[in-house]
Amino acid sequence: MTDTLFPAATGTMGQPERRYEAREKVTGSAAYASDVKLARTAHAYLVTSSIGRGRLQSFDLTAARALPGVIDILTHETIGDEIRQTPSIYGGGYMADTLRPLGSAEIAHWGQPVAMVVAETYEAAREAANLVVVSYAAEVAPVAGMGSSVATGQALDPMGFAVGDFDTAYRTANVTVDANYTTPAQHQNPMELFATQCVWEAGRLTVHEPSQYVNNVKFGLAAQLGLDPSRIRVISTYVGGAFGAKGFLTHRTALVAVAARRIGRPVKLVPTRAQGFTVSGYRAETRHHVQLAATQDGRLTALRHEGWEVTSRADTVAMGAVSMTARLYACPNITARVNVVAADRSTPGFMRAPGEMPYAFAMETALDELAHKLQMDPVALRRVNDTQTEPVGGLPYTSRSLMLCFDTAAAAFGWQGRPSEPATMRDGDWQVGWGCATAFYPTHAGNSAARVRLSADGRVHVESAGHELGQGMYTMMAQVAAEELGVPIAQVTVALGDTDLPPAVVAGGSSSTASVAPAIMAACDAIRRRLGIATGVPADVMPAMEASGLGTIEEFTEVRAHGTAPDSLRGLYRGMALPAGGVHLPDRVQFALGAQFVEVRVHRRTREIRVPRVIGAFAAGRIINPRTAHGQLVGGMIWGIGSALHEHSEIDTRNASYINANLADYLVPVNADVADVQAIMVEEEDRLVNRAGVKGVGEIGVVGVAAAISNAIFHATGIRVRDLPIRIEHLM
Amino acid sequence: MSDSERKTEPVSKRRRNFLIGSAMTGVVPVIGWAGQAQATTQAAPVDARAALNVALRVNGRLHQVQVDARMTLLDALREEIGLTGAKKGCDHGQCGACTVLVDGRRELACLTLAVAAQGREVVTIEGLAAPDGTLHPMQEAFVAQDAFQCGYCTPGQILSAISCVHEGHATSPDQVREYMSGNLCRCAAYPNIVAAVLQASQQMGD
Amino acid sequence: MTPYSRPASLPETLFLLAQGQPLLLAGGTDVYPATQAQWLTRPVIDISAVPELHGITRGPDGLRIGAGTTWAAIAAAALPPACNALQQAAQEVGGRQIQNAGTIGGNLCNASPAADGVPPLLVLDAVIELASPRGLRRVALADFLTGPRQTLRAADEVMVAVIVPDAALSGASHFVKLGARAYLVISIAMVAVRLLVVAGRVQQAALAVGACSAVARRLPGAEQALLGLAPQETAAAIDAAQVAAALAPLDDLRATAVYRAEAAAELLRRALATLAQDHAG
Repeated sequence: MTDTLFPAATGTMGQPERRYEAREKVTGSAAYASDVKLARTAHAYLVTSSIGRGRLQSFDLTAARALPGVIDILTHETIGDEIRQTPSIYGGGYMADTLRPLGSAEIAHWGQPVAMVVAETYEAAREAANLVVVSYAAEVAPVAGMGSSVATGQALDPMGFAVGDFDTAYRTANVTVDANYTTPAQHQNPMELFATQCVWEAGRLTVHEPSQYVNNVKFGLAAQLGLDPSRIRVISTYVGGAFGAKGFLTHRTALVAVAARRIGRPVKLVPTRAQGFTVSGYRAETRHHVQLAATQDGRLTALRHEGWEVTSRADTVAMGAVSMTARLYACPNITARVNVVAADRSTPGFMRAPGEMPYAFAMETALDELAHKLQMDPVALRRVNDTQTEPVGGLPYTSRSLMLCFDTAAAAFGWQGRPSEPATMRDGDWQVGWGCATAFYPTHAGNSAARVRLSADGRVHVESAGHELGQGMYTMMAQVAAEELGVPIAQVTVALGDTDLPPAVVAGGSSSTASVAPAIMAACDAIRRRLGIATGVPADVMPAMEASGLGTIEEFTEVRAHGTAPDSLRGLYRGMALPAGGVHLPDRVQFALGAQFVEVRVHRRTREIRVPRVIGAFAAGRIINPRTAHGQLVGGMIWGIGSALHEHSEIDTRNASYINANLADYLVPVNADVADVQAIMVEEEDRLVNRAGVKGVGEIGVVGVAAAISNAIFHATGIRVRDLPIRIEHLM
Repeated sequence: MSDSERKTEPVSKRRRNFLIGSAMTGVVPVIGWAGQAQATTQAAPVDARAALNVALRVNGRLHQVQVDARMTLLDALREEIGLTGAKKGCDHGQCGACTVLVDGRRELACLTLAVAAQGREVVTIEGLAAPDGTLHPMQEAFVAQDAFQCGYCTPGQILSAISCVHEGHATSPDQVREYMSGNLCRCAAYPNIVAAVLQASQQMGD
Repeated sequence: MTPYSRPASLPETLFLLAQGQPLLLAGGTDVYPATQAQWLTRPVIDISAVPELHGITRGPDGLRIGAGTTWAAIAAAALPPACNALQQAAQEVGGRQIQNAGTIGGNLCNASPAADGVPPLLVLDAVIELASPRGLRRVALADFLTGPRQTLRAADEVMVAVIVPDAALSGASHFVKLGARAYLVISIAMVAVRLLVVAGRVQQAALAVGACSAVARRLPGAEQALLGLAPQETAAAIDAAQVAAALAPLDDLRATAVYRAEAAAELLRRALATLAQDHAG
């Protein structure tokens, strides 16, 4: 079989190796959390709040309990004190939010779990859950979101910053842009539901749950249940998509653990797709005010970006990506501010390019507005303001290949000759437009450990509690070990996603490869040192291994990531390994950068919007596997199309509920929505970011696409749309 | 579909009075209750929850399982038979992750009652590779074209893709895109899925 | 009554149907999504094996499509050009998996305002045949659908067939659907158009619009305006205001009423232009 999609490379790293777990995934033998078969499993079903704010008055469990097969029903009244109040990750803890699972009669949001039924069968649990009668008291009209008249914003001062004198520069400028933008609530909707299985054996708890951070679940659960963490094991061998939704501990895990302990049997919970909309976090809706000023030749003289984000009452969560949008271009006068609007909603969380997507939409659309006012090519505008030093703190980029990305993508797209006037390109009944935008994502890494075992027969086994989410972690880690030890990749086995393995960083912030690869490299170094082989140069370790007479060598190493606190390695062993880097370093800034180009077509009368082609070029340091990286980038770009045109969690303001909490009405892109999407990987060497030279490609593909589409729609029609998703009504 | 598979208990014949189709056309196939050889339509309170003995033919093997009448084929495959390759992504027929072949056609196991699948030939992802482990050309093409990332939608994609080829709907990229749109892939491996289907369709040609 | 039965004939079905409040299950594609939280507590009558409900036949009274015929079977059948719109719609009903299981009868009985099958059947003057212990009756499809999720079907009735009268099987038809994205979406607007052209002039015109009003409708006024025109002149004869007035469009989260009416008019033009092209070529 030949791989036409992927060019061959030399060296093990950098080669388009096929996925390590490909066979398991195409034969159905890859066991995701809900696939694990446990003996005598009982089935759980959640009951969730149908009101947006208020109190539980009472439960009538009579009918539900009477149903044959029902074993147990957990409510805040029946659960006792089994689950302790613990802080959220925003308060130094582990939870995705600060509410205590089934902790009280208070209803903080629609969809909050208020009961869990456990029964012999899924069908019985489901029916019983529907027979649970919940009475609410003190129902109060909720603040549903940003649009509520009673919603008030609160500035988050630590997220704001200023340099120079924005007001004066803006007031005295030749050309200015002043515009507001909005983005909607969105849900990650990984294909795999938020399944959890718990089983107790001799006082030890095993949890099977799809997770981006198994040690977060382990230590968080230990704190909630008052258990010694050594008694908990969390397994997440495969994760059926996460996109930020499976990063931190949610209510369900402790409930299933408690239920399993109460009934002395394994318990399995698979929340419905609709329940998934409030089981975990989501991308909250945002609003933006952007002001730009420039000289006639396009040099930015003033930049202001203020963002508003919805958060829950319980937790103050803000992505605050002004920290990045204000650092993309040279500009002497900058003001940035972030505000939150507390609503009666579940706590928002992380969703692929959490803040970068919405903040980039605002900033990169505003830049296009500026280019139009200046009658300047949008690529030329980025070139005039390109910089190798970020403008806020004056710190150097470790590497920045933005204009190389623009030039590469522009050439592939055929951008040259684009008419600058909007609404001038036509193809029959279709108005045609071209737009572009910058893509960026901060380069993160977190503390991680790894164990590598070399056997005399030449086999290598790699262990890390990192995570395979679809990004190709198994494959890439095998490549790293194969390269470092000079053995064929077929001899390498990899174990991931299990708290019994050496702990690793949360698989978030596009940091997994950049964090775990250096740990594996360090372990391989240790093996080479024991064999007397120099590190850092290609070598086959096997002759030395043979000569040593040893049966196996096993090395465990931990690596502290640049920018983490000196004592932070201890956190690695407490489920507290979070990514550092990006704009939060004292000495430098680290970004992956890219350029997105799109063509749109808008029908003259029906205003249907089609996106026949998207081309992105990305410089993200070293690419360990171009095959899996290509999938990440293209997938991200398709997410960008979804964000621009489809994805929108619609809220019923009466009870702050989601109207379209299903996959028929929450529109994620389908195959027929995707025409020509190309990702070009621009070569970039960055020896500073981390030992592997990896910047990460999991999220950058999403960033900038929505702005490029909005800009292309302006170019096609002359209509500027500043609100996502862009709907045909916007173009009437 | 084999009719012998569908043979079940006859039920009481105390019913007439039809204004059309005056002749009875045979016994009514009603599935027997668990632990009860004979069931009648007389049974006073309807118990939709009763466990039923059901025989399901999956990947060429007959499985006798006891299921709740409301259990879907998807849950029967996963929970009772132990074939977890078919995945639950929405349970509402909106995502395609549970796609299986039923009598050679692609259908959604989450929209099919397990009892209703009696007498039908079900093929799941576990039934595709040859006994010696050789992958089906579609599985091989998915590997070669990297047509998946997280892998959760993959079994459904592959079964859907095989049908797509058999239906004659894999003659062009556009046609594949349209006829594979009933299978969501949140990782958005779509371009590679299209490439894989086109690759395999050549090999499956015969 | 048992929790699940699969009758092998129509009489069996009617007998079982009279036993209580069972749930009729045809293709099953709408039952679970429409059944709150998926808890079926009623006995299920699976009518997928009832032979009287299957098959497409041409008889003395026209084309007879068994209510249990799947969309995939309709799409694959050899039907006259008047049924092109129906066959095109058949390929738009969800993904292929849904088309393999979902039936024309199920689609009509569920009476979604956005049901793809309805406009093409309206332009075919389709008639519904219903059976009950009281006998058979026929109802025009336009009368059968009384509102969103509401029909004239009585609790003890089963839809047996959809009948297209011979008179409506003349000419050719076309179906166009508009959604927020390319595929697999509940429609914002959809239209079916059937024209009979004799000696270069429109002799019969049937226009229907779905997803724009509580129930899909024919547009008699607009149809009248097309009679006697050359096929190439029909698209230009569509008057958006007239379409809007006839539809009283829905205003929901998918689109505003004003937009829907505009879109419906444009889709009608597109469908007519496509038919005109066929005549030209």
